[in-house]
Amino acid sequence: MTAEILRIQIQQACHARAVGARLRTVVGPVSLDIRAEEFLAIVAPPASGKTSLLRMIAGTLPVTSGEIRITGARVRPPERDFGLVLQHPALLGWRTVMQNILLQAQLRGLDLAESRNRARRLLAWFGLSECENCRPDDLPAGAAQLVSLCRALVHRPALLLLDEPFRLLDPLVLERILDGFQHLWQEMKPTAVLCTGNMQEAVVLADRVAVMSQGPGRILQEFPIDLPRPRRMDRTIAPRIAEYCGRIRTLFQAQGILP
Amino acid sequence: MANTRKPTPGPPRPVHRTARPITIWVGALSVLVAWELIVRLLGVRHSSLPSPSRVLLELWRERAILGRHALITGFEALEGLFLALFGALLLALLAARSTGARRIASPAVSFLHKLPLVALAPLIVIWFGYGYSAAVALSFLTCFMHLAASVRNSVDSLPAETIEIVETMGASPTTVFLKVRVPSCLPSIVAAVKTSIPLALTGASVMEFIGSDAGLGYLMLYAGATLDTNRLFASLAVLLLMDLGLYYLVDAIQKRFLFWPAADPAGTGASFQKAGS
Repeated sequence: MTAEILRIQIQQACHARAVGARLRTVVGPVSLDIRAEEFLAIVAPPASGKTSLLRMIAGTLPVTSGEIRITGARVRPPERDFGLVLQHPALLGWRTVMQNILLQAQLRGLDLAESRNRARRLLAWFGLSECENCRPDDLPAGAAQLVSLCRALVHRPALLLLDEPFRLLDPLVLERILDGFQHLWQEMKPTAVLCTGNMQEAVVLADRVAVMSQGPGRILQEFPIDLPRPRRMDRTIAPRIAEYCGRIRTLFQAQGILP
Repeated sequence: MANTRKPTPGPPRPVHRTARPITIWVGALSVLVAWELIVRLLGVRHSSLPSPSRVLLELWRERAILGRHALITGFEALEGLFLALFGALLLALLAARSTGARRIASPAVSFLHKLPLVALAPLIVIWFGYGYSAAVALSFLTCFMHLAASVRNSVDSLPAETIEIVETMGASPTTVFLKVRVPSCLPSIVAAVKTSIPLALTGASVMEFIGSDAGLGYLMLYAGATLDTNRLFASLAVLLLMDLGLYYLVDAIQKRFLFWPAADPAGTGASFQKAGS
């Protein structure tokens, strides 16, 4: 495994888009250092450019200034050993849920029988075992997004890039899914970058939370989350999670993002 | 672990039902009955408007002639339609491969699609003369522009996120083309084929009006000239039956093999905002 040398160094990275004759910065400059096997959550208001930052790390959007260096050969093109979940589930309507997940294994030339077993386990963690043979269009949007997450995990990637994967879930469902996802992450230990607008979700999942400003987004502050895992919203941990959320909230209030 | 939200494995997704087939047949039958009654009760002359029963009788009596000419029109229309489909797919392939071809083809298709192409019939006569190939040419022309415009629209409405994700799995452009682009375009292409069927038949029969000695168009024109309204209506009925038959054939293929929804031209579905950040 090359995971131990994986490290993402983001230095003054910006993405700018041409608007008419001028360049408009969408995100940045952002500097972040993400260690191997670290779970970093980026909490940001809408239209801050967090998706653009994630796409720059994935290499699907150019870095217009600054640089993003990923050490760990498996993550760079053409191999790109990462799992990506975007805001849109991006499932193929003509494939069943299982076939959608296995596309990842197929295209990477992995063993299909083994991948199928792993996919079954992943679906079971998210409570979607019964949907193995459903069509994506028959699933509720939240569940489709979870299938997309399974597809991003099935090949045991070294790096996991998530753009609001839990946004469409019901709050009650979310709590259980977060619990399951923590287990999975601890078991596989990919380096993970999660973009979200939900600070509680970020605090529950991440080792470190970076708070982003309004667009063009910059990192305002980073909070290392020093809580034992698994983190559940029970009596012992909930107050400490709330305390972290309170600190993030204060920061957002100072920015005028929250009242 | 219990499941999150119970997804429905059955088919209760929004189905746009206009009417049940049985209702359609009842409707069609009642129109025919009303027509028959009006013609009989008001004493309309047969040479102006024959009753459905007379048309039916004519259909049976002249089945050999009608069948022969219908076959000719049918082959002209189908040949035009297939050539048009082939051409449209070729153009789409070319446009997918090269941006230059795309920039030229896209506005050209938009422009030519708006033209009343049937009006080009006299030009077709100059190029192809009278007869079979001219009818194929006009039916090709009318279908091609329609199909090319539909294929172009469906290619344009591909979800960018899907392609992005499949690309990060290490898929080559060819794999993306075969595994994502083609299947997601198929439903709208087949839908366009369905709407092209009447165009193909129109193209073929208009060309037969202008200059031909065979086909339903020729038969209708001849029947009109000799005031043989029975035969005129019988030919029209055959044309209608061919149209319906082909439509339901393609419809059956579509329902059997292409169950997934067409790419959404408005974007990526109402519940998902485009990546705004």
